[in-house]
Amino acid sequence: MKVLEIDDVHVTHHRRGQSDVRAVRGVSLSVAPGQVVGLVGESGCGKSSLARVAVGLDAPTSGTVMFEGAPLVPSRLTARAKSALGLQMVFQNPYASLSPRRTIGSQVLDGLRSPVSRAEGEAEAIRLLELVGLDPDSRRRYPNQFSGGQRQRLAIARALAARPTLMIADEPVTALDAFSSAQIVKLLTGLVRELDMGMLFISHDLSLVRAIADETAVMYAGEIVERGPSEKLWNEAQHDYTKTLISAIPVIGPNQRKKRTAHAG
Amino acid sequence: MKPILEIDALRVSLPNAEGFTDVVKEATLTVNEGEIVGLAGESGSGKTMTSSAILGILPKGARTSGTITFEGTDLLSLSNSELSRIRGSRISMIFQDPSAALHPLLTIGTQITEHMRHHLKIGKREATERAVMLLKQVQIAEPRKALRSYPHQFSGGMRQRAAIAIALACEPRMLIADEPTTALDVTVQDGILQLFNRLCDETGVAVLFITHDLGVLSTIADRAYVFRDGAVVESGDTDDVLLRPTHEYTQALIASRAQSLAQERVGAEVQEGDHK
Repeated sequence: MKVLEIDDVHVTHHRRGQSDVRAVRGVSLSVAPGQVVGLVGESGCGKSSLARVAVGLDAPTSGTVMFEGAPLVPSRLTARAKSALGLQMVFQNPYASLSPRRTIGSQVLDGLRSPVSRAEGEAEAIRLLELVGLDPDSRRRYPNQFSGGQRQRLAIARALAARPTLMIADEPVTALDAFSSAQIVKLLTGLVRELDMGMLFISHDLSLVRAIADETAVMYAGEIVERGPSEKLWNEAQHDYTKTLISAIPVIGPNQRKKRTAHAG
Repeated sequence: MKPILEIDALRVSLPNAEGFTDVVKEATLTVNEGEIVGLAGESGSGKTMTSSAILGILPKGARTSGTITFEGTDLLSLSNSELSRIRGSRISMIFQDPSAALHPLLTIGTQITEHMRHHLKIGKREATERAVMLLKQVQIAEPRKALRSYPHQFSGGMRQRAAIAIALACEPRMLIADEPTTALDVTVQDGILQLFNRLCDETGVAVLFITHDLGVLSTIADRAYVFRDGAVVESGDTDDVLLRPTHEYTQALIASRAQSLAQERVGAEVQEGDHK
């Protein structure tokens, strides 16, 4: 059973007085429980348009999105459908996604599906903070007392409060430095296995996706141009765009600056 | 090689509720003419504070000690008006986010030329001709058309190229680039790194390049300094620092890269397979 099935989705944005933008052009993608699927592409390739449809923020222009075997109902300006609460999202900027005015203990409980008593809430906040590797005694503190990496852990804890079966992470470590991002990657991989949830991991960084995703799909100009097991895709890329992406990733190697200068000359 | 910038035992303290916190404790570094020097480290390690100290743009109330010698002058002893003659003409800065560095309501042409006319005291026509040349140098196609464009009409990579053109306008001897490619796509980043390499070789400008990406550091820098908690923990030729790191911290930074993580994961899966 797949937890998420996206079938032949098209997303077209209409602009007044200008031609339409076909942001997503027939993408099919599925995620199984306990599986991490990576979606890689550069700015403007349509990955965020696809993510908004996958999480139910927008309706696709055509095609279907099935979550846990049933069609996902796109949210309007009302609360999300109860059936969609098992689908949670982690965003890029943990500075923007947490309220600066409420304690973190109260914010992680925002994700709960139904109200709980004070004592139950306290216990749940402790469980969630421990799950993401934060000190449960910190629950009375405010977001500004936490680093970027810690804040992203908080955002993940809040998403986990709904006991999701699928998490969509859109560039979750892009705003973090290498150390914090490595820790978040390890945390997410561990959680997927531990909780047997599916994850759609969206990033512009193919080397990062390789480190976390079981399957990788490469998106270019609204279409998936190549997909496969992450390691195989990395080692035996077929499509020219995938090859370009891989070769553009800066690597540590000897004499690179001198070599470049020699080529240029 | 002749040093253009020498920082000796720089200490920067910022005021807080209890007094002062040292954000840079003991930074000593040299940049030679025509050289690209990389500063690497995590968020909060003091890389950006060090570069802000060079330009005299530290937050209000900051205290400094040590010396920053640029072309023989100690920058820490200069007044703000003396520094403003060096900023933007002898030393220029390139920031991470080109959309924030460019004024949204002024054309690219105005933004390049106002700067030159102020520092170089040249006329409008001469400034425009120089601007066209600069845009060619940073490889912006149709430079005359670009001069009449506004920043929002440019892509992220083009905006960063325009910001570099503005930084180069007064023929500075040194550029400080603070994470200039972090906000860009990898394929665009590659082009900007090549541009820095070329500019450095063609014009002899020295570059102090701040990055947290060790892959970028390896691609761009002749020499590298690794910062941690406001102090330099390791320095030397880039290849020595990255391929033969001696400090534990540098080794840990290398191990936390995505590529190292992926290799680690493949290794773990192979081992799991062996046990089955």
